[in-house]
Amino acid sequence: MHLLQPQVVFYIFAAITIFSALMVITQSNPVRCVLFLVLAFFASSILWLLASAEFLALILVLVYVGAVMTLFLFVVMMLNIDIESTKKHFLRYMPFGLILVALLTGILLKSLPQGIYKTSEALPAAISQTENNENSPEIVSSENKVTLSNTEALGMVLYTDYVFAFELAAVILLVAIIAAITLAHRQQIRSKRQDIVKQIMTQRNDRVKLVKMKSER
Amino acid sequence: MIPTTHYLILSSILFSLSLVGIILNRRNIILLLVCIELMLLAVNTNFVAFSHYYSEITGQIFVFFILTVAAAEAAIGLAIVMLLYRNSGNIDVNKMNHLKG
Repeated sequence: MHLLQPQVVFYIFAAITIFSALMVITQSNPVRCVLFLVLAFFASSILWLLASAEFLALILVLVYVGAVMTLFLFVVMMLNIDIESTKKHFLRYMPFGLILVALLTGILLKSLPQGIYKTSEALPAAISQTENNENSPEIVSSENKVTLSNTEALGMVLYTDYVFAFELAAVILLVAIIAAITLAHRQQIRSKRQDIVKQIMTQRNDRVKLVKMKSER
Repeated sequence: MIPTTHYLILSSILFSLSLVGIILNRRNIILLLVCIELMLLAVNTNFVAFSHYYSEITGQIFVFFILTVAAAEAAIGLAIVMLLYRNSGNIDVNKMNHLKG
């Protein structure tokens, strides 16, 4: 019973993931489509938890669902898209699409090597055994792996071996921020910013107006 | 525990579903972006499964970077979609023929 429990959880959430992926591609309303995508992300974060990737599962929920999907929802709700034209197009191509799903999944499953990944418990132990024998620096890490939490282990590798890639990722995010703001920023009409060209090119007639009038008294 | 093959089957089904989604919904550019996100999720599931199988943390590092790049891609893509909608009033892919390509 104790061993059976993770498998039951895996199959339930795998079914939820596939169902919500199917709903994502068949829904014509983009808001519902994004919401089903959020459901797919939640279900697969549970699957990642089962594969002992706890930090990435939490990152998927917090950053991806919390930030990126919210951005998607905002954009989808801001634009109004006519649903009718997409629906008609969709029904015509549906049988073709189902055949293609079956074909692609069949090809991908056929290309999996049979029986290689069956011994999922025996092999990691064997790998750590060989690593222990081969080189001494690996001994420390493979022994520490039992005590280290997933987040700690990820940080140990990320800030040492992959620190350059980490900084590159930071630069990519900066470029993305600047690009998104530059693309979507609209010049404000009531902005108080000074326009140098307009200031220099101004003439006397634009500012001063002499009016002839009789003197009152 | 859970065989790695089942993770691979799941992610291949997800990948092919999202590929078919791109083919079916190619009129609506938002749904194209959503299907690309689903495709990246399938790839990330593969990475996590193999990382668990080989008990090697590097696969999870790759997932980390894929998530970063996907977030940047989503932000820029949505900004482009907003700009397109503001300029032309719709986001139909078939009407994007300003370049006459």
